Amino acid sequence: MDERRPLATEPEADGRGAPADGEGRPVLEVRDLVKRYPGAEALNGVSLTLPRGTVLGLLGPNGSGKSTLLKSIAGLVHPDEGEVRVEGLPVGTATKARVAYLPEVDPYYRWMRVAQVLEWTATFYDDWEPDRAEELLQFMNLRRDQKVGGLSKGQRARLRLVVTLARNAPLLLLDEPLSGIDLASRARIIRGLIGQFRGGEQSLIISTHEVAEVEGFLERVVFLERGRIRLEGEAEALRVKHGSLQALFEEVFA
Amino acid sequence: MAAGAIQRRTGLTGRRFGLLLRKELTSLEGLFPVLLGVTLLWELFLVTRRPTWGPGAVAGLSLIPLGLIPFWAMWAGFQSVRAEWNGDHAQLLLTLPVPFWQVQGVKLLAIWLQAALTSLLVAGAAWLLARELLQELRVSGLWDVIWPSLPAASLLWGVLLVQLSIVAQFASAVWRTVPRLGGLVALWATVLAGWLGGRLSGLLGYLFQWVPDLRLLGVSVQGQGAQAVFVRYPILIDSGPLVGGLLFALGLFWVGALLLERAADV
Repeated sequence: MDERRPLATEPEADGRGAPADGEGRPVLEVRDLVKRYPGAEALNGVSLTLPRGTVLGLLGPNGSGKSTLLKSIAGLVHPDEGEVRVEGLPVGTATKARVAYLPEVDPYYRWMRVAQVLEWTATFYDDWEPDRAEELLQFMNLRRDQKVGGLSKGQRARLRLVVTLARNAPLLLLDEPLSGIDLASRARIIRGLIGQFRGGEQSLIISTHEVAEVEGFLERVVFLERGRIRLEGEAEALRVKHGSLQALFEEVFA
Repeated sequence: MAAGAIQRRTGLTGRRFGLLLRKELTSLEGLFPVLLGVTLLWELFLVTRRPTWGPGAVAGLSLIPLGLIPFWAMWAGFQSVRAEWNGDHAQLLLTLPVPFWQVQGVKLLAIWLQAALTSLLVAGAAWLLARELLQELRVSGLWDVIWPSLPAASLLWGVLLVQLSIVAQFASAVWRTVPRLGGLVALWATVLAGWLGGRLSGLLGYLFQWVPDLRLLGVSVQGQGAQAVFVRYPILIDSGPLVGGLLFALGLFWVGALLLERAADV
């Protein structure tokens, strides 16, 4: 997978500037990424390329490095080695305007109301789509006047989905998006996710260890284990070969 | 609209700035409402004690909350980073398409506005109580002495609060940046920043010798009652090291923000 080809453009190092042109250019390039924490190596030489319009499943057990990889792309974790480029730009202020990141934790202030969370996101991101946000809000059964502090864990997870999916960002990063959402609602939310995702324009990386629920949605998969890519490939080909991604997941991580 | 065709502005616009500042000012996670409440209660309490304790004692005691403000500024500067990281809000702030020094700058601005408001409240209360005292002493003309010194005194007060809040914010940023022994490293960073600040402000001060000195008027009262007279004496403060100290604080602020943006993991 490691193509090691030279990067076509050299934007400013801090991530400012316009993205490189070229429809053929991958939306994401990760090269030889290494991230060490005291006593642990979260990522150990991860390289991957994400073509535009692809849905990638980042699969692996807890502690495999999925969240660290997504955070490195979002600019929240700083790699010790290697590089990440989004639309040809090194991670920085400019790429943050192009990445919609759904964290596993609740980042919103408890005193905020749902309407304030939406206003906040709309103000900072030019790709915010208010009509889409309203539609998603109804779909997720949330009200604008609800206070974040008064929402249940599942409602807060839905709010994070609303905020992320209402952006028309080129790259969506969803870190365990179904975490905290009750089993009964998950299928419906996956349907919503599929309905809102704009293939072709947007690319999506979904990190999860609950493979069965998202596998029908995935086009490519990367299996991570202890910070290394254990296996990657086209989802359909793997499904045909192994019956299902869930079966493959169990086989790989048994 | 195609995702790639969307205009994607980075940095603070007026609206983004307003939203961030409003968040900082209205967030109830800070200790500011407590500081303001305690100050107000203290001043109101002193008003009720004036007949018993006398205007002199009450006017002096009314200034006590001023002594709390530098400690509060340090605490607020430290919390401006710590609260965001502890509450997982750092993930929200660090994914904004805005250079992080701008986010940190708005936080400091909010602290300074709150400190200024509290200082004005204390100064106003003290003035009201002191005016009463002056009338009783039948001493006139003191305002003419105080007024020319007020801008310089306020400036000094502001410089102190700015420096304290920035050093505390920097220490908190260092704490978040190192993976181990963050508290100890932050303590050392604070001591080092204080030492370096003292050295560099003096050195940088030479470059700003041309800045006019700050002039304050000191005053002492000689005699009693109707015989009381003011003796005025000038106090000159070298502005060079003050400007040097501010520049050093500015650098510290920038380094702290850069650490959080490019080195601290969330």
